[in-house]
Amino acid sequence: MSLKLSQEQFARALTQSDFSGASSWVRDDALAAERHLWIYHNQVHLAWRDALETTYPAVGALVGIRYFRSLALRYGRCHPSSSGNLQEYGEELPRFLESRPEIGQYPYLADVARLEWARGVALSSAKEDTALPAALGGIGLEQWPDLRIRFAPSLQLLISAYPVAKLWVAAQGTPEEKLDAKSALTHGEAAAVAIYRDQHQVTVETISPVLWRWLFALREKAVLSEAVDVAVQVGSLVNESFDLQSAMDWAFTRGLITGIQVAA
Amino acid sequence: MDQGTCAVNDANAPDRTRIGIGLRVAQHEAWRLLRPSVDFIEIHAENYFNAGSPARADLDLLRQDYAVSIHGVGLGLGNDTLDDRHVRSLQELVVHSEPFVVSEHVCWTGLQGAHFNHLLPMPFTRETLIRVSDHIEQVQSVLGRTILIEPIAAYLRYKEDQINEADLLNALVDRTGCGILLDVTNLYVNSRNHGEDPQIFLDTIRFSAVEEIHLAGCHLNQFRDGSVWIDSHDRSVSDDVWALYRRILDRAGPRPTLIERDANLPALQQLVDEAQRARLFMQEGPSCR
Repeated sequence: MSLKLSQEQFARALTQSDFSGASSWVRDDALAAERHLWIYHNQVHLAWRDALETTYPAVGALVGIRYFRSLALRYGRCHPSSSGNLQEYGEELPRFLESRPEIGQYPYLADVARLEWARGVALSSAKEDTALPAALGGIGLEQWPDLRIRFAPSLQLLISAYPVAKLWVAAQGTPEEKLDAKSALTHGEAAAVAIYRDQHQVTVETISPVLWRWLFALREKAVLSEAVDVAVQVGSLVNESFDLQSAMDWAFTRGLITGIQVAA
Repeated sequence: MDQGTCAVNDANAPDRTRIGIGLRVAQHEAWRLLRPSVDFIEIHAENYFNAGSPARADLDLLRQDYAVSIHGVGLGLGNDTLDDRHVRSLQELVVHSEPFVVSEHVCWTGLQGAHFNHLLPMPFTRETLIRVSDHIEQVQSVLGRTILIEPIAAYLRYKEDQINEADLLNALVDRTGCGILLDVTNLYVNSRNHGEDPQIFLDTIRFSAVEEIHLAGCHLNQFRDGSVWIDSHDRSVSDDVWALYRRILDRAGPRPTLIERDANLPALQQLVDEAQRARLFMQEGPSCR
């Protein structure tokens, strides 16, 4: 039998619990052939489940660990890993949660999962040297509209129709934090969130939607004048002004600006 | 070498008595505080792929005091194709960390872009020999150095096996110039699960190619219809595995030896004590039992 065929049959046993092909070439030893394959089936799914539990502890706490584990098993069947690095497993879980009709009563769950994935990305992202405000010193005011600002790779931006940061805190938090999240949910609170890393610590910070839109535009390669325009537009919709100096201060003090250059 | 013949240490003996412990992310803080008295740390490559991450920063600090061994678990030397991105990440880590050895497993882990994140067994056939040796050469070419290959703990054997595992490993060494990482626990688990006599493996394997040894905990999983030994890495090394380790030392002489622990992590000092036990056995020299 070719390696190609035996590995295809082995793969079907692992992902689809179909042992019909593989059990024909497995030797009966301590157990019958199919039982040997079951050991691998279970170990693969346990490894994937453990990886999801590590990445998504708040989602697990919100739905209960028993239900989360059954979800993890179904997720593994629909979304086998696509990387030899287990840390990269689970990116599709938010969309998978949205597709599950039985959790429709928790519409915020997918966004909590997005926040947890973003935390993982922030934690494992590369570190770049931070730019200081003095970097602006040599740039003439007339060039400011054309500035491009680069942010630390750890900066992740998430916007949600739900109070996602409060829900994330509440999932493993105190009774007071749970009460706060429940109240925010009842009042239809939305959230714009920035997630970033300082040394070894990841911070989850709810920010104003105006600041969020400015950061998002710059990260999408807009020049400064374009980013200010969209922030002002959003500000007019939510009745909030945009202050460039405050926004720059916010980013500088958190060490999130890593490059400033004038667009060509 | 006949059983009962004692090995004689060669000029590399001081390096060969190195002891190490697997570095796990959950124990970084303990390592920074305790600075345990071992010679090297072994990392799972994939946990340190992200340059600039906190895990990499911790590794850089520890590299100042310890030699490093890089142990891959996700490359899949027996896969249909190697993942170029994975190989490049490994290369970056190796260049950055300057390890004294780089190792991977003789197994497959994925197919046609899907990954199972588990060490899956291969048949001991000529096709396996050709595929794995081609991939070893590919990796060694990218890294610009030889690697060690570790035979895995297997929970099944193929009916179509044509040669024994030690012969396959020797042939891989011949074709690629790679070395061998001998995991004593894997040898023990395989012997118990498949009724294989470890002595045949020890009589066949080319010890001159063995450059590192692993020791880990294992346990017996009992089912209604039988039982299987699992290489669980979640407990101390058993007396049976220590006994097999001493037999290997008798045959091979000292080799850098690592205590592997991935789950149910104990206090770091407990792992240091186990590693020191390995050092003691190496320093005692051949027992000539």
